[in-house]
Amino acid sequence: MSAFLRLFSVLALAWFVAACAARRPASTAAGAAREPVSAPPVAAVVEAAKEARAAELVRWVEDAPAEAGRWLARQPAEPAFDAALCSLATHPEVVVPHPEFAVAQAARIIDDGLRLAVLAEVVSTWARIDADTARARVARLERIDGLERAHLNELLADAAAE
Amino acid sequence: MTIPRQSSSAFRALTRRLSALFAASALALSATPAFAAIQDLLPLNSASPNYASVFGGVKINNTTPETDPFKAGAEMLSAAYAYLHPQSVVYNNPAYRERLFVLLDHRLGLAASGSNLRDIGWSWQAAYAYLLFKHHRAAELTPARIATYEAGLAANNTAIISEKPLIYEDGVLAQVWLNGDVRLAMSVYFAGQALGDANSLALAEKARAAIDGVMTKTALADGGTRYVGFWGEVASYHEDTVETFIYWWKITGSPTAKALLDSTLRYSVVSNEPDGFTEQSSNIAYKHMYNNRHNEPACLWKAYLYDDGYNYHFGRKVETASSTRLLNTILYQPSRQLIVPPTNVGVFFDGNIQGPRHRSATWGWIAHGRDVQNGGPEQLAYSQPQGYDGRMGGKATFVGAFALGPIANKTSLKGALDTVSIEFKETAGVDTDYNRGTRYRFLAQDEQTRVITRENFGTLSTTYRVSKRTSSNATPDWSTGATPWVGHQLWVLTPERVIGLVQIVNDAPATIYGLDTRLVFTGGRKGIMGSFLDLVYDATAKNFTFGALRAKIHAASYTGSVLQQRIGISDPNSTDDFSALVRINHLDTEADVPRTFAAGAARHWILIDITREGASPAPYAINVTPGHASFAVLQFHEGARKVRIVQNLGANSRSYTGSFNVGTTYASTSLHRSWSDVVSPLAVVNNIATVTDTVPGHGHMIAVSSAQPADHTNSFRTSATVFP
Repeated sequence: MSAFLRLFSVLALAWFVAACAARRPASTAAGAAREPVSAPPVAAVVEAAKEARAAELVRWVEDAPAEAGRWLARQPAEPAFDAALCSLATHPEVVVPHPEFAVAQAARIIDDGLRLAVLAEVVSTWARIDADTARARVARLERIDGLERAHLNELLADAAAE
Repeated sequence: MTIPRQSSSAFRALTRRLSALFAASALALSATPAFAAIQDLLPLNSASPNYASVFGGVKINNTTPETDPFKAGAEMLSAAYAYLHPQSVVYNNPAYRERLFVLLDHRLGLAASGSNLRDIGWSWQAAYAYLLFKHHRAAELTPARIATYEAGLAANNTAIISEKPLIYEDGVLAQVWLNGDVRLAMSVYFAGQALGDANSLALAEKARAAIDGVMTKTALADGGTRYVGFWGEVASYHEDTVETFIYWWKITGSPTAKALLDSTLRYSVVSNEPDGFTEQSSNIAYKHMYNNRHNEPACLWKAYLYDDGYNYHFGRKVETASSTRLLNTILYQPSRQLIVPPTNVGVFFDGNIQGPRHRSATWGWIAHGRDVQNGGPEQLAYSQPQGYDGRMGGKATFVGAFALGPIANKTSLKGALDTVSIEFKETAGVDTDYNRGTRYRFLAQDEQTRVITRENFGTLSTTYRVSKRTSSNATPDWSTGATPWVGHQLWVLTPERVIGLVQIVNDAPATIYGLDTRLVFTGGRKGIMGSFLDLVYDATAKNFTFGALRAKIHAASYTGSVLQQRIGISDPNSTDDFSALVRINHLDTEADVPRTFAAGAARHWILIDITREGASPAPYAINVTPGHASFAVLQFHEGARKVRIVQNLGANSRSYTGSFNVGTTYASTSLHRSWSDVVSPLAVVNNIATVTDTVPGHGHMIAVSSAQPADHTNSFRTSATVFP
C-alpha cells in the first residue's frame, strides 16, 4: 500500500470516529451507566486516532518528504500537524536544498517550544549554507520574542565561526 | 511558593549575608558621589594600559556595515567616544564620525522601516551614541539623518516597551531576561532623552523605573545574578550583565545598580575553577555552552572598582595594551592586590546554585538546589511574591561533574558528565533539540528539591514533574507543561563520587514511544575549546569511560540497548562532535512503537555512580526499595564511609524505620536531615544502626557511618569561609 493510501485510510478512520462522536447524543448519567465497563470512551478513541494520524504523517514525511511536504503546505496549521511539520522542516532533503521553505514550515508549528526548537535547527543548518541570508530571515521572523531571537543569533554566530 | 531547603543554619547564614549586602548597599548609597548629566562623556584614564589603542576596533574608512549585532553595538560605542571625547587620542578625527554614521545608518535605517527591532546587540549603544552626538555635535547631523535615526529609535522604543507589559507596566521580576532586557531598557531611556517629546520621555521613565526598581532586584546569594525569570545567570553572560550595569551606574548614578554591582563581587571566585574553567551543568538547559568565556573582563573591572584580589586573578589576563574594551580605560586603577584562589577547596555551600559545590585539582561537581521556577530566598528578601512563576523552562539535570587536568586546547576540562535524567519519548520521529527536547521530554517543573551541605559531603533529593515546557513568558504556573510523568532523584556527593538513584513513574495513563536514561558527556566544543574524547562502554561491567571521567551503572530496573551518538552540546547541528549523548533504554521495544501504561505501571530507575580516573566505583551500592512508591532508599559503601539515604517521595510526612548494617568498621554513625540542622548519633546494636524518623514531605535524611569527625557534625563551609 502506498504511503498516500496508508495516510488516506488513517484519515478516513479518524473522520469516521469523529463523525460518530458528533452524532452521538450527549450522555447522561443514566446513559453513561449503561455503557459496557470495558468500552473505551469515545474521546479516547478520537485521541488515539489523532495520534495514529500524527505518527502516520511523520512516517510519510520521512518516506516521501517532497510529496508529503506539498500536501502539508496546503493544510491549515493545527496542532495535529506539529510533529509532521517538525519532521518536514528538519528533513535533510528539505532543509538543505530548500531552507526558505523549511523555515516557512517550521514557523507554522503551533506549539511555541517546538516551533522555536525546530527554527533553531533549521536556521543553524541554513547558516552553514548561506549565513547572510539566514541572518536576514531571522530578522524577519514573526511570533518570536527577543530572548529566542538572541538565541538564534548566537547559533548564527557559532555557524559563522566554523 | 517553596524554596530549596538547606539546613536551617545555612539559611541563617544566607539571611545574614543578604542583610550584610543590604547594609553595604545602604552605605554605598550614602557615599554615592554626585553624577554628571547623562550627556557628559565618562572620563578616560590615560594611565590605562590600553589608553592608546582602545579605539583600535573601529573600522574607519570602511563603508560596509557590521553584520554581527553585538560587534556593531561595541563599535558604535567606541566610535562615538573616539570622535567626541576630548581625552580620545583620535578626538575630532572625522573618519570615526563617518564610521559611526555607517553603523547608525544601517541599524537605525532598518529600525525606521520596522525591522530589526528589539535587538540587544546594538540598541542601547545606538541610542546612547545618538544622544551624545546630538548633544555635542548636532550641527554635523543632516536633517535626513536626524529623521531616520529618530524614527528608528522611536520604533524601537515602542516595540521594546509594548512587548513586555509584565515588566514595564506590572514590574514582574519573573518575566525579566536580565542581560537582554536591561540593554533594551537602556536603549529606551537614552533614546527617550535624545528624542525629548512627551511620549518618548514617558517611555524612558518606564524603562528607568524597570531597571532601577525591578531589574536590580536580581542579586543572588553568592555574587550571581539572574538569567531569565528565576534562573541563575548563564556563566558566559555574567560579563554582559556586569558591563551593562556598570555603564548604567556610571552614566545615570543609579544607586540600585551600584548595589547590584557590589553584590556580584564573589561571583567568579565561587563559580570559576582557579584556572578559569566554568562548570556549565547549572546553566539553563540550552546554554551549556563550554565556550571558554569565563568573565575575565568583568573580573578586571571589578578588580578596578573594588581592589579585589580574587577578581584580579581572573581578570588580569585581559589587562592588555591591545584591549579595545572601553571600560578598561574608564575604570582603570593603578594599584590593586592579587589573591590566587585555592584549588583544593573541598565541599562548600554555593548560594548561587543553592547547593553544595566541590572543587579540587582533579575534579569538581555541583548539586543544583535552586528552584528555578520560583523566586528562592532572594525573592523573599527583596519583594513579595508577585503571582508569577519564572520564564522559560526547568532543569535538564540536577547534578554535574567534571574532570580536570593540565590545560590543553584552552581548557583544563578532561571530560564532564553534563546532564543526567530519565526521559520519555512523547512522539514518534527524530528529536531535533538535544538541549530542551522536542520529542523526548526530560526537563523538570514543579520541583521539590532539598539539599544538605556538610564539610565532606553533600546531598540532593528532588521530586518533579517531567515537563514539555521549553520556552515561555512568565505565567502564573507551569501547568501547561505538565505530563503524566514524575521524576525522583536522590544523590549523595562526596569528594570520591557522585552517586544517585534516578527514577521516573507515570501517575496517570500514558502512551509513549520510549523511556531511557539520558546522559550527556562532553569534552568541550570543537573549534572553541577542549577535545574529542572517546566514549567507551563496557557492557559487562556497565562502566562508561569518557576522558578522565568514569560512570558506572550499579543497577537498574531494566537495561536494554545502550545507544550513543556524537553531538555538539551547544549547537547540535554543527560539525561539533565533542559531546556524546547516551540513551540507556528501559523499555524493550522497537523504535517508535507506542506503548501504553496504566497509572503507576511504568516505574523505572537506575543507580549510577560517577567518579574520575584513578578512583573506583563504590564497591557496594544498592537500591534498597525498588518499586516502592513512598520511599527511595539508597545504600552504598565507599573507602571511608557507609551510607544510607532515605527520600520521602510524597508530599505528606511519613514515618520511616530501616535497619542499616554498619558493621564494626567505623566508630560513629550519625543521622543528618534536610529539614533540620540537628545531627543525631545513632546507636549500633549487633552491627545494626536503626534509621528512623518522621520525614516531612519531599524531605530526606542520611545516615553516615565513618571515622571522620566532620561526618558527625552539622558544620559546613560557605564561600565566605573558603574564600576569605
